[in-house]
Amino acid sequence: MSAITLIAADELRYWRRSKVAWTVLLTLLLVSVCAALVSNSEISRRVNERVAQQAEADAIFQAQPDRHPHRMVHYGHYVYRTASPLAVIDSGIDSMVGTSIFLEGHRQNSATFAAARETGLLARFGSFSPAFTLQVLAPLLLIICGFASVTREKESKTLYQLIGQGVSSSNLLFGKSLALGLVALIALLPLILLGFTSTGNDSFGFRQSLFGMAFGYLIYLSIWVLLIVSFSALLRTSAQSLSVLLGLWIITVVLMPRIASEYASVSVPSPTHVETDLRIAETMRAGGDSHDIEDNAFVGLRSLTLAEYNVESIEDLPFNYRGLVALRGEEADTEVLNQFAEERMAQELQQKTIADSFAMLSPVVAMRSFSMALAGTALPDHHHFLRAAEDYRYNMVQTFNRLQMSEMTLAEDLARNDSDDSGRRTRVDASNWAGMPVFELRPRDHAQRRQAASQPGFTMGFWLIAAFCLLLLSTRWLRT
Amino acid sequence: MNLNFRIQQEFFFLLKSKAVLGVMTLLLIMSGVSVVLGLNYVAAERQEIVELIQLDTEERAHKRTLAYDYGGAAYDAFHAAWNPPSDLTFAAIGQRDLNPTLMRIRALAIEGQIYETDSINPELALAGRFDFAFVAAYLLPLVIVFVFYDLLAAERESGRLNLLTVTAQNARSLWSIRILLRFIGVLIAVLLPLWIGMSVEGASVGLMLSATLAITLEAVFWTALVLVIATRPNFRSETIAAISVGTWIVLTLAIPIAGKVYIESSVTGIKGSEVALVQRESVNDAWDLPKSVTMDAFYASHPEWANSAPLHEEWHWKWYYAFHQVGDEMAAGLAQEYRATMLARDELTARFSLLSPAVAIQRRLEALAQTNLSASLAFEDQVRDYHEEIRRAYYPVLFEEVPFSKERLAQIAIPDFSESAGLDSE
Repeated sequence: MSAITLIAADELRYWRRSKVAWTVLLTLLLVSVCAALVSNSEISRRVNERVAQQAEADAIFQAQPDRHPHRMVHYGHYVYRTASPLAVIDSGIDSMVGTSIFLEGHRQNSATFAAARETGLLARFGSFSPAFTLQVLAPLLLIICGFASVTREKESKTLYQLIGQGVSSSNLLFGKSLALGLVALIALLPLILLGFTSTGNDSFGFRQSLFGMAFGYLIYLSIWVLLIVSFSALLRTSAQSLSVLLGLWIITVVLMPRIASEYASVSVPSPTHVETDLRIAETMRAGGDSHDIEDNAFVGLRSLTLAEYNVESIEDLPFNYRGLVALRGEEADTEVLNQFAEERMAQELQQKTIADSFAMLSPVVAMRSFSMALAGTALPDHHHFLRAAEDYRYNMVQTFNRLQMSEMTLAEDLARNDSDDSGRRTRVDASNWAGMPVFELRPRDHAQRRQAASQPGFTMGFWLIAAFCLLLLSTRWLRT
Repeated sequence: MNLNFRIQQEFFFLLKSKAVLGVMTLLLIMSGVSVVLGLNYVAAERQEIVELIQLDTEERAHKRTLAYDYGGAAYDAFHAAWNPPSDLTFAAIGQRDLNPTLMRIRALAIEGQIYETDSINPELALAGRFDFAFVAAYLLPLVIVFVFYDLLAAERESGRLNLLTVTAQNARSLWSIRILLRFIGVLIAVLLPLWIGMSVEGASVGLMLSATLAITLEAVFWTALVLVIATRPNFRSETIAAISVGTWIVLTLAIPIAGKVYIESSVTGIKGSEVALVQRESVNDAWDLPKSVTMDAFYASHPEWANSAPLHEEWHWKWYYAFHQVGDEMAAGLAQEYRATMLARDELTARFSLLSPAVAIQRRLEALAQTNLSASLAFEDQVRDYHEEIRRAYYPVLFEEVPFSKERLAQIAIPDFSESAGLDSE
């Protein structure tokens, strides 16, 4: 056995006799296992709920009777956001964003009914998940386990005996770190087991992402282990070491994430949804009202179409001109809506980048970002859902508009409100909705998630190197 | 030695202990930062409200110039509604960012409009706010732990404890003065920024006293707790610190999270999205039902219009607004259930606040700041009342089938939300 493993074994032997160490170990194990179980049942409950709601919404939609296609445009459809399989480890923003979107013509509704609102006050206290345990609690328990690892030897004067016996100070600190690192590994086990059971054979590479997450947490906990042993070596008494380490934990884990997000929201203020709606309405005014074929906005379209088909009036066109106006109108509206939606998403990403830059001040800020990105529960994944829902909405609405073009004449369409009978003539067969493909969200693949995780990943690498340098520095301090 | 002298002596002693003073200054700064951020937040909200009212008025006026029938005019006329921040909102922003605060509503079914919340950046929201309530719930207890944990142990470990107890004529008064001075120092550090913030906001003295009392009680609880641990004989200072911080973790992190898990799994009432689904179904089914079915249901709840001219087969706006109202009536039970679910969760949260001072202080501050669930539901009620005013304002011209004229349209006067909800004019 090398000197390092000897020191580590000695440290473990000391912990075996210490009540504090046992308490910490058992707490860590208990908390991580509980977190894994609770999070697993919580997430699967949410997923099942949404799958059931989506199935209900699909069934209702497909069972709609014969209708005028434009009625279906306003009838719309609901889509529900599914959770990533790795949400059991890190649910990320899942509870903060709405779970469903109502899709209809002429509008992009926002996702409503966030779980956090429905839960109330306690939603903001964090969530009991492996991610929370590892990011917040594990460092604290490691501190309690390790703050005295070197100061204890100083206080009982055994440090100089050890050094006198020829143990090099770097071996001493590496050994202490190794022992503490083994404790950290215990915290990681439930995460890996849980992740393994929840990621099966999928084509989106969630298992690869899981390995990435486990590796990230290993680095994160190593950073803490190195910091704890370094401070214990640098400071004179156990009391000093404890208060400095607790202070460090409070500042980096409790304070920094909040300061980061406050700073980001102050530096890039986001417009309220009402203001955005008003601006959208103003921009869309120029696009005209696509329900009204006489709207000035469609004068150009009319003459172009008449010229293309070489006919005198819209009645002579081989299709229902109102359907064409609806089609082109939706196209123009969607362009405006997408422009605003992209602007909003870019702004949110900009805020995220600013908040993420605080990772240089706190490893937990880096870890949070890294973990969410790989779990597929981060902001870009939500944007991915919004874009997929918008694609689905646009295709659905345009399908209906095309039906309005092809399945009735202009005269029939204009007379639709005159009587029940004329209304019936403009109805389209129900098989058209029954056959609509259902909404399926393809998650982003591993490469995309890894790309999103790369920046915080680099920052964690920086932290690891910095913590290692601090440890090396403290070995020199110990020698003098 | 007289008391005055002893207090002076202890005061100088406090000034000399750099660590304690440093932590108090840190608390003062954190509290100050949170208050400034909060004031900033409410100022931005007020600005948004002013802009909303102006944009909204312009947009509505513009839409009215385009109107060619009453139904269409009502369809296009959105009316702003807003929940203004209170004098204490800056200190406890609470769930305000997740609850609807600004909205524009129209005479269509309210259930389709009332749940629209502001679009927040979810990643920023996840971290939580850095408001005064956070400083009070999370940081204040930690500062108290730091200030009191080695009160005795430090003296004992440096071997001065016995000397002090022997030389001081009355050991008890010495310790009480030392504890009281530190306690007051902590309290002033956390409260001073709050008092300044509240004065800036023009809060009433009563509100100030209530907030001060809440914070003082919390500080007393934590001080007592730490002192009980710190005065145990033979506890080393790091043991005291570890136990105190452990208690903080249990009370501030563990119990609230356990509470959240318990509440979410035990109160699994109706989801908001189900209310919306039912409302949409009933509104849309109306298109395929005979018009008389809808109208009969509408007249049952609005008998004053039952004598309106019967509908024929063609489209009529009064039928359109009737089925929107009937849709609301059909979803009303579910909407109540949805609220009841949230209230039941809130009720359980109240019970957890007995176990966790962090939950208790946040609830108390949010109640004082009117940023809690009941305030949000009260706003919802105001909006529902306002919506009723709006739709009823259009009923006479629709159900009496008044021929359209711009003059008559101009006579349909709908009060501002501030008037309807009885808000102070800003």
